[in-house]
Amino acid sequence: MVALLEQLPYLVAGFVFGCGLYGVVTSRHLVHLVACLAVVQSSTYVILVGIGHRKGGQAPVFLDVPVSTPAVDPIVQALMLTDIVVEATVMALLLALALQVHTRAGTMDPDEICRLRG
Amino acid sequence: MSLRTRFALFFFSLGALGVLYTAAVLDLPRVGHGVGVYAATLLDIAVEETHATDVVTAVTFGYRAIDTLGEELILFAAVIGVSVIMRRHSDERDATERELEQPLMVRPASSESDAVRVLTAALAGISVTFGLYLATHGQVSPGGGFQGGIVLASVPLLVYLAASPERYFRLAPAALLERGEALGILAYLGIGLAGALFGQAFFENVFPLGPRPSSVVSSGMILLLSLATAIAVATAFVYLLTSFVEEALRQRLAR
Amino acid sequence: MRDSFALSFFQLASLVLVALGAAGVVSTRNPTNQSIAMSFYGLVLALMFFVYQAPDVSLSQLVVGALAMPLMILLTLSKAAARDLEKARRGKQP
Repeated sequence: MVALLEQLPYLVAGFVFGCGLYGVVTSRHLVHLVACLAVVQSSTYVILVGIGHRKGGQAPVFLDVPVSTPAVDPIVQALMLTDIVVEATVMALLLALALQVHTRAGTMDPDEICRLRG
Repeated sequence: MSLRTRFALFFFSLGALGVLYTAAVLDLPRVGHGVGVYAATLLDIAVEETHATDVVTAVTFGYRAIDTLGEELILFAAVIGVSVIMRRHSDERDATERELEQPLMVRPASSESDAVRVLTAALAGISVTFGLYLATHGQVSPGGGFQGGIVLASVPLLVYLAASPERYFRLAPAALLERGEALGILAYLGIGLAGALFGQAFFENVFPLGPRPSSVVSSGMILLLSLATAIAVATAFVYLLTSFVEEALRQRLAR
Repeated sequence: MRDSFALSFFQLASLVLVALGAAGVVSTRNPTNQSIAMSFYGLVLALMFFVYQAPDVSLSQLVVGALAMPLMILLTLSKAAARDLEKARRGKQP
């Protein structure tokens, strides 16, 4: 039980992933689908936070503390920064695509679009 | 595929994924006791080697600058993609040309609420200062080119809410944004190539490192790349928002 | 056992908030309302990064997740509605 609680970041990441995926599968509006994809992508932030955490570590900024103080993992934080940029750009492109689908098919409902193709 | 089949398949695969994932999670090293040799080495030597006290920025723009180049290019490609996808539809062209015939000066302010206008006008100046601080102090304290760039990107939006659309377009004209984005990417690449020009590796830090780690003008290439990234990211995000804003503006005018 | 536990109370609480926020975003079906939920979820994520000692990540997540993303969603919805309006107007003309 304590073991599970200790690995809570990973469990929460799995839960968020499942939530987002459920939202994608049951979505009836393309923009809602894109937002649920953003939630799926945010589960990777939580996993990275879990990986990078060090017990008793502080932020990896040594402006006013000596360099030898224990700090959390800085490389995983650089990965998280890249992840956030990629999420923003992918969402922008997906929203633009959703807009084009709406123009061509006249609807924002994924199920309707499949049926229109006939 | 009917809805019931879709749900059955989804829940079955989610269940299987959940079982495997939980088994994997229980097998991972405990949170807080992870082993990272690269990280441990970097935390020891990064401050002394690059004169940058913020190790995350030192990693992003120093040790892994080539990964950040990929990130910049992703942003660039997204801007190109959005501008291609959002180019004006032939149906819209007639409608927008009709509306653009109205003289610019009679367009009303963006917001009727005094509270919104006052608040955003006050915040715009603070945001510019804070964004510039973040962009230029990335190597000493939390911040960096990306953080400063996106805070600066929110300023034209605040101006749009505080004043009127034509002030927004005057502050952020499309030509300036395109040139700014290109300048940011080229500057980033040029600074990387400087290493090759001095006979060393691509993205090697050949610039003067400054007197000591806690001074702002230090860490050579990290500061320069941070500034280039701030320009590229700010213009990219303002461009992305502008493509979406133009339609909202025309819709308001039609009312 | 207690002294080897690596996560503090605030860190655990922020994780619970993230889980609740994600469920909230997904269960909000109306896209306009969902953009507000997304904004709050972005804020909660930024808070989680902060208590996990990642200030740089928290700064970028704050602007991207709480400002840029909901804004893009709202503007997409407004653009789609404008095209619907234009199509209806065109349909009415003979």
